[in-house]
Amino acid sequence: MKVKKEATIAVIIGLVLALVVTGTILRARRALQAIKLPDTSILKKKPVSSINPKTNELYLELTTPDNLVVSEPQLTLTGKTLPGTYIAILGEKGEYLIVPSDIGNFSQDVVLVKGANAIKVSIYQNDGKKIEKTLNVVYTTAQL
Amino acid sequence: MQKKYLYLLFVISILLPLHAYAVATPSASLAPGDDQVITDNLKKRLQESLAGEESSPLSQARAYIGVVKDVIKDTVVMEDKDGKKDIKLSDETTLLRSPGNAQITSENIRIDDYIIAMGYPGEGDVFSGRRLIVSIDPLLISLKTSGMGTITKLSKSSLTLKTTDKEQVIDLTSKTVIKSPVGTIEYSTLAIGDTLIYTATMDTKDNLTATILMRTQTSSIAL
Repeated sequence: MKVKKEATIAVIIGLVLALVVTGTILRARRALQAIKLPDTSILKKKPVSSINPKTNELYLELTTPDNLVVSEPQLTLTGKTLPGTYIAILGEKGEYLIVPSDIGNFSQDVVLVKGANAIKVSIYQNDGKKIEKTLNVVYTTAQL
Repeated sequence: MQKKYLYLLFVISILLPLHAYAVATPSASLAPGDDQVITDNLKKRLQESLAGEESSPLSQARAYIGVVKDVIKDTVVMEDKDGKKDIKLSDETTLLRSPGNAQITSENIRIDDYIIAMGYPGEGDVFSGRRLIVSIDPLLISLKTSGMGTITKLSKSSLTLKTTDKEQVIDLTSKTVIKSPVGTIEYSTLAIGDTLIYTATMDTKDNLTATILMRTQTSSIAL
């Protein structure tokens, strides 16, 4: 009789332990699903230059990396500046005068020559202020 | 009897956590909400795949354009617009002299040669050169410029702009594109007092020929 009682207690303790483990696993699952991981994509695209756009000062961020090597005769140049400005892009093979979007983004396909290309981007404000940056790009079909 | 209880205890202790683990594994079954997990996983795999494309060999390659400052054993010291760079040469490096792209050795690289150094960034500041092109002539010659100014004179073949520091005469050709931020406009609609942005080519005497003119303000708004 005494043995039977001890065995019953052991079974109950075992059941409680199993329930605790089960509950812990299920709670951990719910907690992991609730975690929202931060968007790391913005960390991958490091701008060439960065000035806080909130200051309302003229700025130019080029999201296209500098010193690129490309195998196509065209490059999409992208960046961000102050809205309401004017953008002059001087490539080796063509020139472009564009305006940024309402939030300051801009994008322009630039035709490249084989070899070295210097792409000068100038931003003009109505009051005559200007800033500029130059990107170097090499267009080659050779294997590196 | 005691043995039976112990067996029962053992079985329950093993089976319950196993069941919980199976439920917690997304691939176990398609419970409500699991389709979201699958979508997220697919998105994650797609992003990883795209990131893989970005990290393809050519996208990791870089090129510096500048001037040779020194050649020390298997290292070419060059200077580009951002400063000095050490380009490490190896058996995999191809050295070419432009024009003609004749293959050369490192002994043929001269100080003050213009250079394009293509390769891959290594550890620290080391840049592993894979294809180096040197030339005695500049590899980048910019004969283009841009500017902003207000029209002070207009003629059929040229216009004069007042910029921040000078009066600039710009010649026009039949190829000159004249536009506003919303589209092409006629040259005849330009007036004295209008503000323009221009791109132009320069000759050796710094004379400018406009390639694109964009009116940013009309004189009526400016006044």
